[in-house]
Amino acid sequence: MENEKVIPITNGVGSVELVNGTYTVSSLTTGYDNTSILPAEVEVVEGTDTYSFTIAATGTLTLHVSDDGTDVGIPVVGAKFKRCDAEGTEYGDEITSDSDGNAVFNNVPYSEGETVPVVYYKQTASDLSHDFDSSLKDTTLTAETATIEVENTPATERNFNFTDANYSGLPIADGQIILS
Amino acid sequence: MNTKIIKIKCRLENNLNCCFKVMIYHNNSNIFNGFTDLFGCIYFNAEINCVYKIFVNNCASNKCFAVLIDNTTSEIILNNSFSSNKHHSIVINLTDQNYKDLPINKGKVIIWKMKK
Repeated sequence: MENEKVIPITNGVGSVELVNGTYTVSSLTTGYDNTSILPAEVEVVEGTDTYSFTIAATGTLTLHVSDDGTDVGIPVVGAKFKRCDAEGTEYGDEITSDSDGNAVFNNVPYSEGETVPVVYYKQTASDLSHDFDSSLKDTTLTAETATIEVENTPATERNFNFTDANYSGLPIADGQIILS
Repeated sequence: MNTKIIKIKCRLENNLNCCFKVMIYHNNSNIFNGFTDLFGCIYFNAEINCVYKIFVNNCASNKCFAVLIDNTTSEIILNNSFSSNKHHSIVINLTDQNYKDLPINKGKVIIWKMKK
């Protein structure tokens, strides 16, 4: 179509030579809702050479966090995660696992076809009783919803002694130490 | 690397020659910049069987041409028309609507010129 320009996008950027004017915008981006691209119209004007658009996905990725990485393990509450790009740069709001151990990324790309966008994420925290792997992880969603099991192993058990500061070795009978 | 000198001749629609700025790109890298001579000509050393984008502009006309240099190519004549509607290279950014600034790894943005 003579009045149409298709701009390939790689890693968020593309370029095209274009006359000034007003254009309708759409998208062909696997894994995303192509009707969601914004803005839907753009005016290209002299002196402005960069134009930004956004697009939304509709998939849901659940990270189920437990002490053994299975769906029947003891859930870990308070594990935190963030979406990333391929270089590990973080984006968007942090998500946190609930009382069932589930942390949910909404609006992630998915595709039932051959080409499936990669979703990158990493864990940024657990509760204070569990260790976690903070390395960059990736996955692909071939259906609209997916669940990944994440293991946060129990941390090493530590022993604490609590004695009187003025009577060496005299144990404190009843009390609490609070670590934060 | 098999190369040859190619003559690029730029002229306006009414066959008048004038001074043009010529910028040549290969694989989206700018490899050559220069101005045409009194006859509207400029010469550059091209690699055979390569595609080049030649961007030609002056105050009256701006155009971009994609050309393939093969064994038979010795001269390229580029006709520019008067145009008050300059076109220029623009950059498109595409990011995720729900994760601010997260770049879309692979995709296509399609634009249509709206009818007046």
